[in-house]
Amino acid sequence: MKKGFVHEINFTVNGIKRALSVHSNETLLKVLREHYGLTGAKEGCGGGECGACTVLLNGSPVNSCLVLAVEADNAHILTIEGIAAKDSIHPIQQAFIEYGAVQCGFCTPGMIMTAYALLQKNPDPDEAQIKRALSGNLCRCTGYVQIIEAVKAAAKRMKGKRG
Amino acid sequence: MKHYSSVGKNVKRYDAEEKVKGTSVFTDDLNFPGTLYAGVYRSPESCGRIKKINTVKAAKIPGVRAVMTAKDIPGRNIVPVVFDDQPLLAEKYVRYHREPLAIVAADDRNTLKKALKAIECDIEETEGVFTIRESLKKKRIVNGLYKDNIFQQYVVEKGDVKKAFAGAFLTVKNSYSTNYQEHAYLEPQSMLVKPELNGIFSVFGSMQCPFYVQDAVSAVLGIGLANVSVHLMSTGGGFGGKEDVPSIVAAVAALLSHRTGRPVKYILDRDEDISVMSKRHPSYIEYESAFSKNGKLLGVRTDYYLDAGAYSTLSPIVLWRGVIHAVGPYECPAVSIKGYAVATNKVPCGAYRGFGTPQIIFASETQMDIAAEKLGIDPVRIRELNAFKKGSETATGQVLKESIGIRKTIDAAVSRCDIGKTRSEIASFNKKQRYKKRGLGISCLFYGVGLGARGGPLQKGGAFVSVFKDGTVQFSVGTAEMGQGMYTVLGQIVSESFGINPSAVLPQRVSTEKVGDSGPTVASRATFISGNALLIACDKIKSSLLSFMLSEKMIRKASDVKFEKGYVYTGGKKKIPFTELSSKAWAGRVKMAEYGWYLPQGTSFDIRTGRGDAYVVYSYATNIAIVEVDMLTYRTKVLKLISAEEFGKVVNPLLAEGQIQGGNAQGIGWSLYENMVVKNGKILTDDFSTYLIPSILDIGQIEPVIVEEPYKGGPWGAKGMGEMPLMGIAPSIGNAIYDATGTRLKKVPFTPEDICNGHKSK
Ligand code: FES
Ligand code: FES
Repeated sequence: MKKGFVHEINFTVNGIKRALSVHSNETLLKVLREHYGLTGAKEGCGGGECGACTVLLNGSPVNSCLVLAVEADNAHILTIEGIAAKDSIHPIQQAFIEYGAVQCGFCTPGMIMTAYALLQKNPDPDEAQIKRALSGNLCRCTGYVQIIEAVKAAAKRMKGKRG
Repeated sequence: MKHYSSVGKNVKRYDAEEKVKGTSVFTDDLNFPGTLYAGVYRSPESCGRIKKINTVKAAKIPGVRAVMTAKDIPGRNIVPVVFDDQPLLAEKYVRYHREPLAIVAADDRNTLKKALKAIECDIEETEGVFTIRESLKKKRIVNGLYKDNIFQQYVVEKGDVKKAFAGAFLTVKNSYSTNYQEHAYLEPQSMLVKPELNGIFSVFGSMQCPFYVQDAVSAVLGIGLANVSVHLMSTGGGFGGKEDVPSIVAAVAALLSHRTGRPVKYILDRDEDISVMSKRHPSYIEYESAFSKNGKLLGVRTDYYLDAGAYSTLSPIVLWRGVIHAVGPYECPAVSIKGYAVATNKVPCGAYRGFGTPQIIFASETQMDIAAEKLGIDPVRIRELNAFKKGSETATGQVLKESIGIRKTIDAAVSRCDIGKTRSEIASFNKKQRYKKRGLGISCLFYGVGLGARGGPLQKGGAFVSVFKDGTVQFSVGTAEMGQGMYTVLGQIVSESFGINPSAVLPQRVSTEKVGDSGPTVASRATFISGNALLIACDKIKSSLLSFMLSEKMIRKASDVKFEKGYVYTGGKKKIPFTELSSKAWAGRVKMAEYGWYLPQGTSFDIRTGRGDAYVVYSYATNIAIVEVDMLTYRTKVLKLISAEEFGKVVNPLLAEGQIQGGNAQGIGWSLYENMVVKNGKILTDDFSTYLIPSILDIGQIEPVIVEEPYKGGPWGAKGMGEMPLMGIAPSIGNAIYDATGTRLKKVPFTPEDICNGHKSK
C-alpha cells in the first residue's frame, strides 16, 4: 500500500469514543475486527452480497465490508457486541436462541443487527416487512423459517416491555 | 413405550448463546501474534503442460515470507482421499482452471495480493474435455493415471430385466440432466496452522472431518500423524463442502507454517472458494422403467453418469450411494443399474448433502409421475402401491426388517397437505387465473444411514465420557459440529443415559487429541455413530457404579437400579441424587471416565454383482410441493413445501425441524435459482450476485412433519437425517410445475427459459 494515505478518524463504537489512523482503502469491517477485536461481524463475501458483516451506522444497517473506515468519521457504530450489556441478553438474541434461528451462527450477528434496526424503526412489522428488511442477509443453514419466527417473537416481547 | 426425559425434548443448543452474542470463535477470529496470511497462485488455463512457474519477483517483495511450488514440498505432493490421484500443487500438467501452482505467505493481505500478482507461469495450453459426452469418447485422457476417463463404475443387477421389460404393460424411457450445486456455506474455507514445540503442528479450522485433515497435513509435511493435532473451530456450515477440501486448505497453510516457523492463516475469498472448492456433480441419466397395468414397478434400467472433474476425490463413493438409491424406496424385482464417474477438465466435484442421490432421485421420481399419468393412477397411489414394507427387498437384495417409515411419511404428508381440498383449490384458482398457474407435486425417497458397506475402515466411531464428583459430565466425540446441532443432540443422548438434566452435560470441542480416528462427519452419521459410541461409554461407567453400589450395600441387586430425573433409584422408591452417588463413587475411587467404541455391523456389498446389505438401516421421506408459475415471465415460486421425514426416534424436534427447513431451502435453490455457468471449464458465476442462493424472499411456506419409527440399533432409537430434506425437492417441484403448466422438465435447475420453451413447443 502507498504510504501517506493515512487519515485520522473520530467515531463512536458501541458507545465508546474512538480515534484512529486508517488507510484510505481500509474497510470498516477490517477496522472493527482487527483494531478493536470486535469479531462478531463476519466476512462472508467481502462484496456486499451476504450481509454477514452488517453493523449499524447512525442507526441504519450497512454492509461494513463495503464501507470505508474513513466514511465512519463522526459516525455512531453499533455492532452485535454492543446491543446488550455484558451479562445480559437482548430480546432479539433471546428469541433467536428459543426459536432455533441459529445453526452455524455465521450469519447470525448480521441477521440480528438488521432485525435490531428494523425493530427500532418499526416495532410492529408484519411478515412481509420482516422479509423485506432481512432480504440482504443470506443464511444457508436455516431456510429462514425460524429466523422469521424469532423476529416476530422478539417484536412482541419488546412491545410488551415498552408498554 | 419407553418414557424419555431428555430425548425428544427441545433442549437449547449449547452454542446458541455464544453465536447470538457474536463471541463464538470461528477460524478467522483467531489471532496469534506473528500470523502470516497465505494465498494460492492458480492456473489461468483449464488444461495444459506447465513449462515454467516464475516466483522470483514475488519472493523479493518485502513482507513476503515464503513462496513454494511442488518441488518445495517436504512430504508427498498429494491430497489424500480415495485414490490419491490429485497433487496438492500441480507439477507437470494442469487439469482444471485455477488448479493450485504455487503458494505464498506474507505479512499482510495487501502484500499477499501483490505477491500473487507478481508470479508468472508459462503453460502450453491443450484442448480440454468439458462434458460427459466428450469424456466418454476417450479422444483425450484427462488424467494419465487412468487408462480411460472413467474413475469408477458400479453395477447393481437383480432379476431378469429383459423379461420384465418384455412383459410390461408400460415402459417409460427418458434422459435427465442436472447442473452443479455450490455449497455456499456462509463461512468460506478457513484454516490456521501453528507450529508448536517438539515438531508438532496445531491445525485450527472449519471442517467436517478432522481426521482427514490430520492425514493430509501429515502427508505433505512428511511427519507422523502424532505430530499433527487438529482442532475444530466453530464451523460456518459444511453440507459436504467441508468434507475433503479442508484437507487442501490445511495442507497449504501447514506447508507455509512449516517453511516459515510462523502461524499461517489461509482464508479463501468467496470467488476463489466458489471457483475451486468441491460441488455437487453435474449428471446425465438415462432411465427406463417398466410397469404392470395396475402400476406395479416391474423393472428399472438406468445409466447414471457423474461429471467428476479432473480428479477422483470422493466421486467413487458419491457414485456408489447414487447407484444404491437409484430405484427409490420401492420394491422392484428386476434392476440393471450402471453408474460411472467420468473425468473432465473441470474443478473436482465431491460431497454435497445427499451425496449422489438428489440427481438420480430427480430422474426416478419424475419417471414415477410420468408413469402414473400414463396409467391413469394417482401419483400418490402409485407410490403407496410400490413403497417398501417389512420384508421388502431393495435393489441390492437387502431384506428390510425394521423401522421402515416410507408409508407413514406418505400418509403424514398427504394429510398435512389435505390433498383433496388443496387440489380442488388449485383447480379453481387455475380456472380463474389466466396468467398464473398452480400445481402440486410429490416425491418419495429413502436414505441409507451412515457410510454403508463401501465405507470400509471408516465405519467406526469413538467417544469419551467423564463423570465428575459433582455429577456433571463431559464428553468428546470424533465427529464434527458444523452448525447442525450435533453437540446438543449428543448431550441429550448422554443425559438420557444417566437420567440427568442435559444442562449438566457438556461437550468438549472436537479434536484429534481426544478420541481415536472416528471417520468423517458425513452421511448423516454423527447422531447414529457417535451416539452409539457415547452410550457404550456411559454403560461402562454405569456398570462400575452398579458394582460400587453393590459392594457398598447401597443396593441388593443391579436390576433394581434406574437412572431417572436426576436420581438413582436403588430399589422401589428408594433413591439418591446422581450428584451424591457421583461424589461417593469418586471417594470410593470408582473409574468414572470411559471410552466407547462403536462399529456398525452387518453391511456387505459384492462389487461384481452389486448385491448385499448396503447400509445398516434407512431413513425415509415424502415431499409435497405446491408451486405457482407466472405464465408471462415463466418464473416459478414455491408457495408451500411439506416434508414428512422419518428418521427413527427424534432426539431434538426443534433442531430436526431446522435441518428440514434448511435442507428444503437448499433443495429449492438447486431446483430453481442456482445455475452455475461454466465456459471451457471456467466458472463464470463466482459470487452471490451471479450464483443465486435463496434469500428470505424466495422461500415460501415450509412445513416439516416429523414421523417416528424407532430403530432398535440406534441410540435411543434414532437413525440419521441431515441430508434427506434436500434430496427429493427437485422432483416434487418439477412434478408440481408439470401439474401447473403441462411442461415436463428433465433438466435441473428449472429455468424460466426451459419452462417457456416447453410451453411454446406444445
Ligand atoms: S461480507 Fe459484507 S456483505 Fe458479505
Ligand atoms: S445459521 Fe449458518 S448461515 Fe445462517
